Amino acid sequence: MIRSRRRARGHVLAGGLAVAVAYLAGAAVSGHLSPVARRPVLDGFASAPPYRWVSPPPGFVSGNEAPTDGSLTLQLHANGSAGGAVSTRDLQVTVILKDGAFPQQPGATGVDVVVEPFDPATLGAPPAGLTAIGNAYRVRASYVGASGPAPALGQAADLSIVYPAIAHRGVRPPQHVILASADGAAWRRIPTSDASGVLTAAATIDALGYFVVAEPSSAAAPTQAPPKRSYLPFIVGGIGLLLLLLSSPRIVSRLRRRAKREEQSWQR
Amino acid sequence: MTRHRSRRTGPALAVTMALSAALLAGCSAGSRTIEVGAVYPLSGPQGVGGREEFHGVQLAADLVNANGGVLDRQVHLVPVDAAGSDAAVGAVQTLQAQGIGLVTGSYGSTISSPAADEAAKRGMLFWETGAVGEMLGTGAGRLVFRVSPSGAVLGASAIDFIANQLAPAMHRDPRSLRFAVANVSDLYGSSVAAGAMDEIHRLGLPSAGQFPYALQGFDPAAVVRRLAAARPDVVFVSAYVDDGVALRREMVRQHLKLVANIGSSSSYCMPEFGERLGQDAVGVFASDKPDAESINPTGLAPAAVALLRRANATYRARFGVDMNAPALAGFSAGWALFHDVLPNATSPSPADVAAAALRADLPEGSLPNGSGLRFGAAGSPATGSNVLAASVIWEWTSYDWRAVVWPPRFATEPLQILPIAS
Repeated sequence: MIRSRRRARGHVLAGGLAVAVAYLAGAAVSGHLSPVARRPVLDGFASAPPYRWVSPPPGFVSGNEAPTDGSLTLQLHANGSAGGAVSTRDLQVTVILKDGAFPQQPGATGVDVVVEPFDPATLGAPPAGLTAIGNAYRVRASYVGASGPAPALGQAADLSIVYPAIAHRGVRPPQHVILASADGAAWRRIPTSDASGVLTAAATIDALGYFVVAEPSSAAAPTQAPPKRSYLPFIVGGIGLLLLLLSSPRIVSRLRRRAKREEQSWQR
Repeated sequence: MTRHRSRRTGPALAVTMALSAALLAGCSAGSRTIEVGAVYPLSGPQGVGGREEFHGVQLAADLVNANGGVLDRQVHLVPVDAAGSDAAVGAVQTLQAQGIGLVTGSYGSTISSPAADEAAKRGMLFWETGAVGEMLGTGAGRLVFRVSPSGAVLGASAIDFIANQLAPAMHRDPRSLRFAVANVSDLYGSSVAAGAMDEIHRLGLPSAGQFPYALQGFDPAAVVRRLAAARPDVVFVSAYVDDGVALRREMVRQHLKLVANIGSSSSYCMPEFGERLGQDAVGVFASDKPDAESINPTGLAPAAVALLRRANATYRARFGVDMNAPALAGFSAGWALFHDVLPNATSPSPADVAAAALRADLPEGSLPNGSGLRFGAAGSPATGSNVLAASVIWEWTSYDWRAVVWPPRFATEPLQILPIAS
């Protein structure tokens, strides 16, 4: 019990550190573009900029700008690849890679890391009870100057994904989770830190592949009218009541008087 | 005789009962409540201010309910989190799907505008409690109302204060000063800047130009270089905190000598502005809404003073702090709706509540934030806007202290002529 609690605390701490590191790195990257770009270190009060959808939901088609990809070439040294941060140009995703994230490969001079957006509807369905929100992203790497299989992560990396502002009922935002998949078909949840203040989910990843942010399916606010109620029980009840009342005109006149009083009180 | 009467009343009664049955089907356990939607950014970058404004509205509903509600009906707020402008339309649709026709919102101008448009399109009433940017659209004055001062009012008040109060106090002719406006080019910044530019032209003041900038790719040094080239004596800034602070820093770094620097609600008035700038904030002014701690109660009607005290005490007990500007704006606008408009509506339908809103006429100082309540006539530039909304001028007299110095009825400290850093 104590051990599992410690482990849980460890996850929380690691998650917190991950989001902090990812956030700072994102801020550093964005700072190159503008001191008040999308996710600055100093908390801004500007509203979140519009999300860029691969496949915008109805209502977001007009005005939607296509999301962008991002790439970075990491130099290779004797101890593996140099560290670096790769973001999509619209800053919706940032991946931070530590020194030695990819191993040395004979003949290779570097590692290309690419982040590309995808429509999650074209990929596998998320686990039951979860709905993907926003774009899915594939993070892939390849050696420069050498053929062979794609390099695997030798060290954990930090990933942060911005998710869209979606209307939610209630005062507390739902907990967001990052789903990971090697091939985009089968997803698994990974421990996630949800920074709802900056609409960003962050996680430590130990493999490249596909990633998407999800939230509980029950969280998104319904925009369809609720199913119509059946009037049958009320009509049956009303007929029963009618028969009862017909036997007592006094009750009817009392009800009428009360209805009139209530109407007058609203109208004053 | 008796038999004859029952033959006549029987069919009528049957119809009445059938209708009653149908009506019963539309009622729920909550039929003695009035459900009001609340669209605010409760998370996301504007979550802090959005929650504060929502808390103010919630407090207004709670106090009205504690007083017996609206004609014996309890007000029930239905919050929907709209963390950004993307969520605004969906939030309104969500509320309509729940059968709600009255909506309050929304703290942020970029959320307010699409939410108000969507509400009006769907025949719902939208009651803006805090956002200042242009948001009234086609529903203005018909189904969309703004209780808080508009950005145009805040911008105009800033220029008017400099021209008619500060300049004379400095023994300067305002017509000898060159006025420039720098603004973030979104809905909020453009709206406030337009008010300032209009006032510069209306007062016949020399204009050094308007300098809009986008947040994406924002370069404060470049903006201030452009400003400096126009040789302004007075700079009005309509910005958010980050860009507002960055611009002020650049003005000092580039030694831009100014007679006055004044800003607007989302930056220059915020405590963070002074915290981040330190001495560079001193002597700078801000045009904004008042907060509970910094409004002079002598400018309020006695009932508003009592309400402010009660509300602020309850707020402090709940959240451990006094009502700041967003909370007080939310409370005052919520109170106006629940206490002064809804009870005078012939029904809680959006059209009837809108009609009651247009009939509302509360003098200045009636609401706890110093505002009155009267909406601009149809067809006027102020259609749907509260023409008696109170705004104040703050002065940073120390890096950790700003006080209301104008207008006199709400001022807590006298205007001081302080040197500003350059």
